[in-house]
Amino acid sequence: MDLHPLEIKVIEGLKKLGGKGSAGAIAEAAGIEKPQAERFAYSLSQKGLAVLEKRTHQTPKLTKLGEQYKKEGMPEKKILKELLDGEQTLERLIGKTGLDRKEAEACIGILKKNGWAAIRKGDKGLELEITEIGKIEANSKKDFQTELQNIADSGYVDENVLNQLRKRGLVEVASHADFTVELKEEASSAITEAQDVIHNLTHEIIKSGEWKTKKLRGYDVRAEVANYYGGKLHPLTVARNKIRRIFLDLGFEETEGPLVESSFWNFDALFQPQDHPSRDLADTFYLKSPKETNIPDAKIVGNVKKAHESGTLNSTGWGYKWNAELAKKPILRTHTTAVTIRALSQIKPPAKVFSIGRVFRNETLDFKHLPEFTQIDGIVADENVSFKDLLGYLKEFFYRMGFEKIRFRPAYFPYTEMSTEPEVYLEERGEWIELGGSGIFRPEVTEPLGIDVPVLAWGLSLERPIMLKYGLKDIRSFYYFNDLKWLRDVSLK
Amino acid sequence: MALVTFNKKDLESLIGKKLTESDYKDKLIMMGVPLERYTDTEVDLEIFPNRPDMLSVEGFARAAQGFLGIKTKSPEYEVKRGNFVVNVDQKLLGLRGCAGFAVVKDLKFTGESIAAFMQLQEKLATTIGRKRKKASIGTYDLSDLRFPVKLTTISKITKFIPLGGTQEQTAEQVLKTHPKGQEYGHLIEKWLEYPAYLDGRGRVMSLLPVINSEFSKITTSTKNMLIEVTGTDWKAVREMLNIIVCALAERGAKIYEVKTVYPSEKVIRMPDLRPRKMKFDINYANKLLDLDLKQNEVKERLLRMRFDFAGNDVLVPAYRTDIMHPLDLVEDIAIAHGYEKFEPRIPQIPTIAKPNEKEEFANLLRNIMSGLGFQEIVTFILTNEGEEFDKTKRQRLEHVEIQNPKTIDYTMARTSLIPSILRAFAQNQSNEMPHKMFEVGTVVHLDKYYETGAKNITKLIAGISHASAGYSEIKSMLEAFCRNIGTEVSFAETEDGAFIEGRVAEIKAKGEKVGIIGEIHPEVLLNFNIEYPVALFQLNIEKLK
Repeated sequence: MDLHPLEIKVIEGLKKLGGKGSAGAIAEAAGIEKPQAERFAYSLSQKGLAVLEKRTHQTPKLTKLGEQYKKEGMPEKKILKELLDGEQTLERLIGKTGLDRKEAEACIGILKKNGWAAIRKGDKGLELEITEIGKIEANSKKDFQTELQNIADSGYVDENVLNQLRKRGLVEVASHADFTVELKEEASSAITEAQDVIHNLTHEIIKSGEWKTKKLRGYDVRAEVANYYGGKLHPLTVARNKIRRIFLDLGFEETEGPLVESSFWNFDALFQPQDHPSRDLADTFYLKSPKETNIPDAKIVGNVKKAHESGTLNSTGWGYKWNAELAKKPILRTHTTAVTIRALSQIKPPAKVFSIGRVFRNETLDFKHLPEFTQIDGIVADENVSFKDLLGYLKEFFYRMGFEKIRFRPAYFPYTEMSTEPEVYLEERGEWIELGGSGIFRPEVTEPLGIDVPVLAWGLSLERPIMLKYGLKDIRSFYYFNDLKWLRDVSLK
Repeated sequence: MALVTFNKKDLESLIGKKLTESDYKDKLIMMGVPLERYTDTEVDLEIFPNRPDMLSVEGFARAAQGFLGIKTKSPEYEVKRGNFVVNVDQKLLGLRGCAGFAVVKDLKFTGESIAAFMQLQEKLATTIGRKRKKASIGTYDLSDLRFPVKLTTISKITKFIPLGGTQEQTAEQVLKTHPKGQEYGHLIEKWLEYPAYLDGRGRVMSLLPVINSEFSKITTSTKNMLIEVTGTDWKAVREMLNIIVCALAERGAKIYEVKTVYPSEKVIRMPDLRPRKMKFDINYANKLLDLDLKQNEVKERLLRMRFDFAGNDVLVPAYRTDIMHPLDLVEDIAIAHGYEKFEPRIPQIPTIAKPNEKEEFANLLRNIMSGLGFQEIVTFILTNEGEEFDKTKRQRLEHVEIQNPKTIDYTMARTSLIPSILRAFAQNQSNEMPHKMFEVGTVVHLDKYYETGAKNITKLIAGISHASAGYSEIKSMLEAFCRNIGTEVSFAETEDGAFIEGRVAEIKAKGEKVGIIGEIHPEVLLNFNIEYPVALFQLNIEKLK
């Protein structure tokens, strides 16, 4: 049988005690802590090597008044000693002993009951005269004061005395459980066996070969151990890399763009009219510095201006006067479509491009809104793509993200037509959840950039699917709280 | 995005069919109108900005009839000749001189229909009208109104009784004290005189674009009405007028034209509800949708979307102001066809994957840092000057500054990751020690040579915090990191307000400064409410590639 080193100590301690003892006694005999003695005495009993017997102890303890009398003596004794000088009034006794009136009056009852004094009513109040047994008591060395001292020293007291002291409020009794442990015969053989066991495998034991002749002790494999936190990636990074992997596997090129963007690339190139509400100060962060951005060469700007004012081929346009100054205004980009539209101005179809990056909205921070978050944008430009290809790319993406049931709802964005919002069905919530926006870029967007093929486009949220996965209710778990407890505990699977 | 509330009974009687919750939730959503709330008596629907015609219950019912196959083709709305004249004063030209009118007769308002009408006006003025800036709407009971009406200006002390009021007030008082004056007064408060409509007897009909006057107000007993849409943009004015007039016509009201006479003697007759002709090529639709629809199938779908045809040309109703390009018709064909009927096609455009090198490098660094035992954090790029410079006792750099911050917390883009990680340490004071965190994050530096005037820069920060965290520990970690990327670094004494003097060094690679390492100054720690030592290093990783 395997024994823990402390179990062996408990057995040895008990042997010193003659095979039986309380946890406190064992602790002392074995030179270990009392809680350890208790825990391992218990484990020995579980192994059938010891028997536990539970006992309830009552421990008397002095009250504050008890402590005082233990130090100063009993008040009735003080009175008796004064009375040895002769008969006296209560008033005088109070003056001489320094007792307070209430205490002194209480003593009258005790003196009378024990027959230590005779009490009469005289002209000046009560008069006291000591009796013969009172005289013996006055000179006795043993009284309640010595009993109080005993209690303080050893906790021992006669039950009769204890009751009297409790009545006078000098002693309280606390009860607590304890157990005695009795060693069984089997313990002796177990301990002999255990001497031949290795507890900690050390460098020396391995080298000396001692382990060959002894047994390696087994452990409580369920025992609790300290927490360990190694290094770890953030769940946003893990999700981001999963998404990068999906688009790269599908043959996309990854791109990036500036966080400080011109209104031109963020809005105008995307055919968002210059008075569009999403360009309001209430929604977009405009900048005090830098003051202005450069917008592209005259050809692209001219084409975009025309698209807004009177339209590209077959289009009416928005029909307003386009202002280049507004397009130069720098902003913090509001979507990563600004990045993919920049890419579109550079590419030659067929091309597939994606980008994952931080975007900004002039929102007040709360559990549902962040002033900055991460978006995923993708485009596919090719002569032969259709609406069905758009749905196909999105379906494939979401399938690889773990969403099997998907539907496409008609939607609206100023820069796409067929616009659709992909929604995934969550079995456990029994509802469709919208996870982004998508569509085919309008000709008013593509033609000014010299692109004459259809371009599929989408913008998705990075945080949304992660929140669904972890059941997070507060979006501030990202970027804002930085809670190490959550980060250390969260599963990355 | 606009949310409208429709009375179900009213809506369903207009559609001519009783609808179930699932009709709204599963069928009409595929028309592009998500259901936001459903009760026994009402539905809340989200109307997308391209379909302002559906902001009216009548317009929504009209579209739903088509989509559900109850009625097809566009309805014909007749505009009768009339003798109503509005004169526009020279003074308004170029300011708020785009004005469109219609007279509507034989109205039969009920409690429900008048509520729907009010909602429509408000939603149109908010959306297309851009909160009345571009255009506002006024409606007037015709019974006591005298023509010709005049669009002109009035002095600030001109008195009238504002709608809902009992006493005359000056125009200036109305702007200052009336709730609508406070809401919309800013649009005209700088004018020397205020824009207004006066009737033939010189009475103030409305103070534009703030409030109407009490005398011509609309009630359920109003039978005949003048509608005016006035603003700065002709397109918005026409769109709003057409949508309103067509909504009323759906309930059987009769539309009369109004002549607007401009100072140049130019006369404009409105409303103009004639459909627009648009050429349409079905091959274009079939290619984009990857369908093989025949001419009659395309026709069937467009008729259900309430379009009509003149030969092979599509007739676009006056209220469908969103149709700018044949592509918009393609989308309507797709919607009528049913988005759910399109079979997603497996991706098949062959191109070669190419990861962004910067991103790949950042990931390598993340893997090295987590291997060295650091927990990754991802924090805000937005911050404020107090946190960025003052709390860290660092010199103020030129930085990206926000012009219109909503809160004082986010007024700039960060230039360093040091405040970000200090904030994270502060947030974790009660979490088990030791703390080891890192971030690979973007900061933004002003750069006048860069196209947008400010450039993204990627940095790596790594910090440790525990009872005895210090310089030598973080230095050994930095050196371990550098071994892993094959970069040799050297250290030189430097000064930086955030660090303890003599316990901070500049990190150099190939003679160039690439970062900073040191122990954070106790004053800075306390500024962030950190009670344990922090040592950290920050590297500009663009210089390590």
